[in-house]
Parts: sequence; C-alpha cells; structure tokens
Amino acid sequence: MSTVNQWTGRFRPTRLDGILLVGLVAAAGWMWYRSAVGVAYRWDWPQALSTVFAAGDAGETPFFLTGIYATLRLSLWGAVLASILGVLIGVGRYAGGRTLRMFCGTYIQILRNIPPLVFIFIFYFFISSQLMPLLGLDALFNRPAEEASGWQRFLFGPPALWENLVSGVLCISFISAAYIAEVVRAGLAAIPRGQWEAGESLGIPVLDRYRFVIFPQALARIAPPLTGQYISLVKDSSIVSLISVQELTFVGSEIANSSGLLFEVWLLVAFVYFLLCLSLSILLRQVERRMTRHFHQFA
Amino acid sequence: MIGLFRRPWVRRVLSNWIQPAAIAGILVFAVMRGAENINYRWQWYRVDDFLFTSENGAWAAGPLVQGLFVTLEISVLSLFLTLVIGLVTALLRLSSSMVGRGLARGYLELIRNTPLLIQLYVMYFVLGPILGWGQTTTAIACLAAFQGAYTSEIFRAGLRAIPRGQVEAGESLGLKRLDNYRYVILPQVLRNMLPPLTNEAVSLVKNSSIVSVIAIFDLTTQGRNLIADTFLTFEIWLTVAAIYLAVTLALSTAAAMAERRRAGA
Amino acid sequence: MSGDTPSIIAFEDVSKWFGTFQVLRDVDLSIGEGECVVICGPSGSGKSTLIRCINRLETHDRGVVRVHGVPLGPGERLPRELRGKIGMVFQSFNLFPHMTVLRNLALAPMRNLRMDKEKAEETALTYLERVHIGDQAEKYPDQLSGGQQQRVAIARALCMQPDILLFDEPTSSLDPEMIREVLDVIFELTDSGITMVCVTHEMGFARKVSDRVVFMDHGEIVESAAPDAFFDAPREERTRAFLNQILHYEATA
Repeated sequence: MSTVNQWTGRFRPTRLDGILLVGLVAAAGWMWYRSAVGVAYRWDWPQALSTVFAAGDAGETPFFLTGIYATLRLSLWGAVLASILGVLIGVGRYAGGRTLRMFCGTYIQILRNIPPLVFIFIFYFFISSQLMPLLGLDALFNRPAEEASGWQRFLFGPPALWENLVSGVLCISFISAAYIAEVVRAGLAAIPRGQWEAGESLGIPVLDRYRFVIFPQALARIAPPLTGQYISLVKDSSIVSLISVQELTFVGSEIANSSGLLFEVWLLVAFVYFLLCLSLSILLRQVERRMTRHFHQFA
Repeated sequence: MIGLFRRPWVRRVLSNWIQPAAIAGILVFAVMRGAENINYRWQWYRVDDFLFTSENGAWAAGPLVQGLFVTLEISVLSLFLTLVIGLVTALLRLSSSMVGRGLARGYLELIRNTPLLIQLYVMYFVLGPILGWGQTTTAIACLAAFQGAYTSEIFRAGLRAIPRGQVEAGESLGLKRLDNYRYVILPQVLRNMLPPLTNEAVSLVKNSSIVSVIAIFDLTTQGRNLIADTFLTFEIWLTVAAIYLAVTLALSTAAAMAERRRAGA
Repeated sequence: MSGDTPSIIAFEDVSKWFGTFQVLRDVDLSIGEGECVVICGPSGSGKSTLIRCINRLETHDRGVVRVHGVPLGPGERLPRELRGKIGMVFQSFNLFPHMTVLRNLALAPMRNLRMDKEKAEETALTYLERVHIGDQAEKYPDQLSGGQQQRVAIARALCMQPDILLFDEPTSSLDPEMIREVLDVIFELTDSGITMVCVTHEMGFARKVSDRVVFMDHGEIVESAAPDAFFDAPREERTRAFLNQILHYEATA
C-alpha cells in the first residue's frame, strides 16, 4: 500500500521541530507567568497531598481513596451489567423478530442520540422515585450496616452507599449497553452469510451455531471496539457525580471546594483518571491479544 | 410514490428516525399511564410556554428554545475549532517531526484517557483563570479539544487513504506543497470524510450538554432551571431529550443523504 | 431414469420471487434415490436458488417441495429429522476459519449426532483420507489451497452421512489448476449411493458423471435429459444456443 505517509517524510524536520519547540516553551512560560503573576495563584502541593490522603479522625480510609474505590466498583459492575445487556440487545437487534428488532434498534438509537447527562437526569429521577420502591430495593439497602460481610464491603463498598452505587451502575450501564449492543450487532453482521449457511446445512443446532461458529469469529472482530467501550465506560462514570453518586469526581469536587486548592485537586483527579484509563487500556490490550490468540489469525 | 419508499436511503431515514420516534412515543405514553397510577399529575399543557411565548400576538422563544440556540451556537463554534485541531493533529502525527508527533500523541492520550467532565473542570477551574477565559470560551475550547482528538483520527484515515498517485500528479505538475494540499488533497479528503465528520457534529451536540455544569445557559441548564422552578420533572426532561434527539437525528439523516449522494455520484 | 427409482426430491409447481423478480417459474422436477443430476444454465437462471430450496436455505413462495416424501410448503423450514441429512458444498467453501480442519469436520457430528469427540475425530479422519488430505487435519483453512479447502468442505458434509449432497458451483471460485482435484473427488462419490445434485458449468464433468442433465433458463426448466442425449441431440433451441456459447468458448479458450 502506498500511502501519503511516504511523501510526508520530506518535511524538513529541523525547521518544524524548532518552531514547535519554541512555541511550546513560549506557551509554557506564558502560562507560568500568568499563573504566578497574572492570577497570583499560590501553588501548595504538600498541603494538597496531605489533605487528599489524610485519614479521617477515627482512622477511616481517606475520603479521596474511597472515591477511587467507588469509581472502580462502579466501573466493574457497570461493565458487567452493560456487557450482559449489550449482548442481549445487540443479538436481539441482529437476529430477533420484527418487533424485537425494532425495540432493540430504538433503544440503541435513542440512547446514542441523547446526551448522557440528560439521560442520567431522567433516569435518576425515574429510578429513585419509582424503580427502587417498585423492586423493594430500598428495603434491601436500608438494612443495618453490621449485616454486611467483609467480602460484600469489598465488592460493593459501605452498605450506607449501596443504593447510591446501584443508581450509578444502572445509569452508566444502560448508556454503555447501547454502544456495546451496536458493536455486537455490527460484529455479527460482519460474519459472512456463508458461515451461517454452512452451520445450518450441517444441521448444527441454532445455539451451537452461535456458540461455536459465530461468536468466536465475532469476538475476534469486536474485541478492539469493545475495549474502547470499556474505557469510555470508566470515563463516563464521572458524570454520575452529578446525581450525587460518591465516586472520584464527586469526592474531588468536595475536596476542591472545601480546601480551596482548586488547581492541585483537579489536576490530581485528572491524573488519577488518566492512570486508571491508561492502565485499563494496556491491560485490556493484553487480554485482547491473549483472547484472540486462540483463534487462528484470519484476514 | 410507492417507489420512493423502496429507495434505500428513504428506508434508512424511516428506520433511523420515524420508527424510533414512534416507539419512543409509545414508551412515553406507557410511562405516563404508569405515572398516573402513582398520582403523578401530568401538565403537558404548561410545556408550550417553555418553548414559545406569545405576547400581544408576537412570538418569542421560550427558555427551552433559547437554550437550544445556545447549544447550537456552542456546537457550531466548537465544530470549527474541532476541525482545525483535528486537522493540525493529524498532520502532526503524519509529519516527520519528532516533536510534532510526540506533541500530537501526548495530546491524544491525555484526551482519550480522561473524562470529558474532568477536562471541563480542569479547563474551568485551572486553565480558564490562568488564561483569563470566560465560561463560553472555556466551554467551546473544552468541547473542541475533546472532539478534536477523535476527529483527528478521521482526518488521519482520510489523509492516508489518498493514493500516492494523486500526490505525485500534483507534484509533477509543479504545484507548491501548500497548493497541492489545498487544491488536490484536501478536496478529496473532505469529500470522503463528510459522513464521519457529520457524526462528529452529532457527538458535539450531545456532549455540549455537559457545559451546563459550568453555568452556561444551554438547553440542559434551561431544563434544569425550569424543573427547579416548576417541578415538572418528566415533562421537561422528556421535552429536552426530544429536542436533542430531533437535532442529532436530523444531522444523522443529513449524513445518510450525503453518503447516498456520494455513492450515487 | 427418474422413473425406475423412488423419488427422494420432488418439486411440484414451485415458484419463487425476489421482490418483483420471479426466480423460479412453476418448476417440476423429480430426482430419484442415488441419482446424480447436474443443473446448468446461464447465470441468474435460478439454478442456485433451486438447490437451496432443497435444504431450505431459501424457501419458495408457491407449490410444494418434497424431500424424503416430506411435503414442504411455502416458507417452511427443514423439519428437525432432516437437518444435517442434506449436505451442501458451497462455491466459497464456507469453512470455519477459526477451527482446524479436523474440528471443522468433527463439530457437526458432535453437536448434532451427539457423537463423542474421539469417535467424531475418527470419522473425520476417515473422510479426510477419502478426499486425500488426511495429513492436513491439524491445519487451519487459510493454510490450505482452494482445491484442498473445497475437498475439506466435501469431507465435512460427508461426516454427517447425508443421503443427499448438494453442490453449488463447487469449482467456480477455484484456480483452473485445482478444478480437477475437486471434480475427481466428486466423481469418486458417484458409487456411494448418495443422491447428488450439482450446479456447475463444467460440461465435460457433467457428461462423464451425471445420470441426467437439467438445463434452466429464466427460472424455468427448459430441458432435462440423459447426458448423451442432452449434449449430442438437444431438443430445445435455447439449450442449443447455450451449449453453442459454452462449447465455443471452451474451444477457443
């Protein structure tokens, strides 16, 4: 393949490099000047770090860390639920009857076309005012805290925040499910028709056709976009802070407001998300490679 | 007339737009009936005033429509900036300059691995004050910086898809590099990229709702304020969602039609 | 020929439309047990659709298709007891790319006939030997040549011990030098007692192998005759024109 790549090799490196370097230094210098002289911000990293990592009065986990844990739990359970829903809706969209296809398609279209924020506000109001009482979940979550066992605390966090966690998980997984469903649908649609026909003509039962013939091939195709969706899910989890789910962003804004160390705290929060997402993407890439290694490489 | 409904793009519009709208309508109706059972009193008639008000026979935009205009304004402005950032980033990534590639790479990783909301907070609380930006500037810069990272991938794919022969033809005709870009490469790239770029516009409209957290009076903020005043939670959120849906689906439809024209040409 | 043996496949007044386009026009055709029928005709004449109606990859819109005496009406899929009993070999092989050759063959017997793994793989190896590629069992499809892949596909169909084998242009996507090896394998199957229906443009093969040649054009059966009569003394003008084109082409090519 001859692409545009080769001719861009003729840029004169020294000149562009030089211009960019000068620009970079100038921008950094100007920013420093503005922050030190213009807005006279007094950076105080030692103070910020000790505020963020200070244990509570009774030696509880530092508030900031509880936020990180909550984001991790939110992402984990969100991903699990979103994957289940996403596969069901995606398969429904691809292979369901007319009505089912239409409903799945509508779900995908609507969730992908309204702002996540708006969905979260609608849905939060809906679940807190109707779904929770309807399912009797509020009774379940209002049990005395002592009943929660160690592993329950580890997996789901402090019992006082379970309802909070469930709202967040439902919100982000419903959104993410729409995107995953679309990935699944596209993956299934990309499998050549002949594969289905071969399975059918050999008399392989329908579920086995999915399990042995179609899904393994689809999985190899959808693994990369799926990885992207999981990282998006971690990032999107930040917006549930706006419905008071006590995760990293929520905790960050509490600390920033109470300590007044706006610059430091927000940069720190951004840094933590950056590390989370980057390590997740590296991890998932490994998993993806290991997973698809079992399938022979096909074009 | 019957033939019209057989055309692929018409069918696509129908299935992408009309069908979801119809089903959504049914769902909303079901929710309404459900809500009536728990004594939620629907007051849809009050929503009209939030869309348009009429005083002495003169129509004026209500809060929601005003909000929509702000949303559109922010989206359009950040779309322009997005295109610039996306193109520059793509060119830097394809360039032979080490600093350029590193810069582009760092920017992309930074944007891709942090939430938009956090980017907005950092811009608003940290960069904004340092650079002396107001809310609107911050919002537009933030949305464009975010979307630009994704758009640059489209530009990069588009640039890489230009056959070498086109470039060589331009060069052999003695076109200067800039002219070659401007008259030969970019028009081809742009035509191929129109449909995916429309999707970026859809994303921008959608993502723009997040600027409501820094007190910009866009559609989402107007909705939230109205709810705080009137407690018509469902009516207003559903209306707001419907407006967003109408805008994004209209854009998607436009993309589908553009693609069809391209395919037809 | 079809008169002497009980018919295993019968089309009775079968029609089918794709939208407004009629692909099959009142087709009547009866195929006897163990018979080998070649179907030929210009592209778009409905040959593939016809044989895909036998194993119900396509359903017809009017008339009745009988398979093993079971009447199948419009829109009806294959009943459970017939699934896997009608093998098909496709133009594009349709091997499962993510499985070894052996697993490609063993999967259906394991999942449909509930054979255990060892038995299924044993059967698979037997059939691989039969198509002369027993030594390729552990390879993946894309490591094989087109001809080898098609022979694997034939062995895969045979593993289900079908009574009917359908070939949908089995040599059309093969490089010329590989056509022969596949046709040889099909030829070797003629004394197996399996009923074979083969859509192909290989006229020499049709003449040598088939009991009967059926010529289709525009969705209808124009002529159906024993190969010698078909090639030497075609009765219909359309058949003659078709043969003329094909043979002329073969002579000059």
